[in-house]
Amino acid sequence: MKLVQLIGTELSKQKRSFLWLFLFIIPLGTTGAMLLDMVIRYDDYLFPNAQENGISSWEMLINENHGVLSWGLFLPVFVAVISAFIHQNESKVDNWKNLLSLPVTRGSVLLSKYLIILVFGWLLVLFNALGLILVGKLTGFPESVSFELFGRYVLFQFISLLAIAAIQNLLNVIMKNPIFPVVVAFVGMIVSGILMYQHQQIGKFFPFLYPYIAGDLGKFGFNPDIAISGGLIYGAIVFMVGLFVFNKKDIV
Amino acid sequence: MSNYLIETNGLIKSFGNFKAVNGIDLKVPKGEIYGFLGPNGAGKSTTIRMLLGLIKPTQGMVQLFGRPLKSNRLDILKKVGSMVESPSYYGHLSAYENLNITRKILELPKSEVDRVLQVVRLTEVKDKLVKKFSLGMKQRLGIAQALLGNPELLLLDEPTNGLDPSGIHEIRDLIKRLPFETGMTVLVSSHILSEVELIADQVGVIQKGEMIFQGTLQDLRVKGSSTLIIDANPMERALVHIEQMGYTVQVRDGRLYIPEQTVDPAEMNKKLVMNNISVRHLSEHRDTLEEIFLSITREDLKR
Ligand SMILES: Nc1ncnc2c1ncn2[C@@H]1O[C@H](COP(=O)(O)OP(=O)(O)OP(=O)(O)O)[C@@H](O)[C@H]1O
Ligand SMILES: [Mg+2]
Repeated sequence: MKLVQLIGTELSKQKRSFLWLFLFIIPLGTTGAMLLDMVIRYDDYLFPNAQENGISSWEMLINENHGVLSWGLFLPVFVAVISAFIHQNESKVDNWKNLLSLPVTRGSVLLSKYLIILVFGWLLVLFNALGLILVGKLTGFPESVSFELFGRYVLFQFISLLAIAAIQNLLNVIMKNPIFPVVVAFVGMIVSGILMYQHQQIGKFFPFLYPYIAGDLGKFGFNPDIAISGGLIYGAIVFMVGLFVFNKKDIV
Repeated sequence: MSNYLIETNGLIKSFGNFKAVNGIDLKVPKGEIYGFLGPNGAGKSTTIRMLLGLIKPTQGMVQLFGRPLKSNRLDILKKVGSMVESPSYYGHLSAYENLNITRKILELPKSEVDRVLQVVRLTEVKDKLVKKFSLGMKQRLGIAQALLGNPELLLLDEPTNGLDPSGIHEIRDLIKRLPFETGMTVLVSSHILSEVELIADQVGVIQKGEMIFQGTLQDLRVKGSSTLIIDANPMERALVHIEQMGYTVQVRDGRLYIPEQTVDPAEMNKKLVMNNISVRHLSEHRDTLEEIFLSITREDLKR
């Protein structure tokens, strides 16, 4: 299969890439924003409010991050950007023909891209969460960190990304210009925003909403399990569709 | 089993209604250099892409190493190095890093990268980013990449595109050495006959997706015509005589032109002189290969 070699080369291709900067800047931004939020509002509003609702400061912080800052809604767009970064290497000077003339199956190539998109997406999620823990520590939350809470938050997002990464990977295979799939994800984000408030029943089937649902701690009343089953099912189906399309595709 | 390393049967590729490749029977013998010729848009690259499984044929079959490509793609591609159309590269990586990526996939030792860099003479600039390379350097890098692992079959699509004369010469020498030194079979495409004339054993000429000639260069030469050019005195009597012998003669610039392949110049000279005609000039003009190539590809255009 050569999957190991392919994943290794995907990493080599990201040498000197802006992707690393992206991976660093986005969580830095969310951490900064949340820190500011806590500095301004924690003592006077957020903490008393959390007490009133019977949730810990940490849960409150995740809600702020996920819903107010809309991390959960933006995440698919970030993953789309990652996917574009990974695919533009092949589409820029028609490297597909080169890569696919080597003794590798198209399936393993597609899978290596999928996995690498996932890994980068997961890193983004992880850095965002670590940033939150840092913010809580700096603010001086009275409660100790709940690793169960954060573990769950991170894991559910990871699984929801199985769907997003598969979709973006497929779109990047179909579309020659790597920017278009990012536009699709952006539209997906806007639609998610509408569904979240107005059409929750439909929203359950809308994969771009899964990263949001994954971190919904009750604010909009989604059951986060939807993100698990949806992520797994969409991930598998869309990846298979991608495989079918990619195998049939003429590399011209 | 045939001893063709590449063999296609009735290979067709349609893009919509347009047949870019229309029934090609390619036959490339093992251990030889095969010149794949045709003007722009003839279907060379499309054919080569089908040989690599990048494009699925609409109809017909591709056999490499005596086995169908369709069912043995991975095993076959292990033994094939290629460069299709413009060279591909990761511009933000150095030449070394680019080659190293292919090397890792092919699971070759690191020394292979240094070896091929040496072969195409890029060793000195191996750490330079490829986006800063000139077209010729990128072309070399593409060739180096194709040479990684010493494949048994090398497919090069217009490898000298963008190279300066000395670069063309160098690549030509390199290609010529390969079958000799490593037993490699090489298919080189080009739209200029003179580019492969000096190195190819066999040529295939395609035009509008169809093979209009396939065989040795010698066979191709035979397709050319020769013209006998005579300057004689008196001209009128010479003309009459030659016409009486049954040849068609054209008079141009005070010379006689006999566009005929079967005239023996010595015989012709003798007859004229014996009839008291003085022959001041007698020469034979043979079509060069380039002229033959141009004439057969042009003939076909008229169809
Ligand atoms: N994806 C495609 N869709 C439609 N037509 C195509 C496609 N690819 C190639 N063609 C057409 O097929 C024909 C053959 O193209 P090809 O690139 O194989 O020619 P070529 O012999 O390599 O020419 P050149 O010397 O210019 O490289 C051309 O007329 C081209 O326009
Ligand atoms: Mg071409």
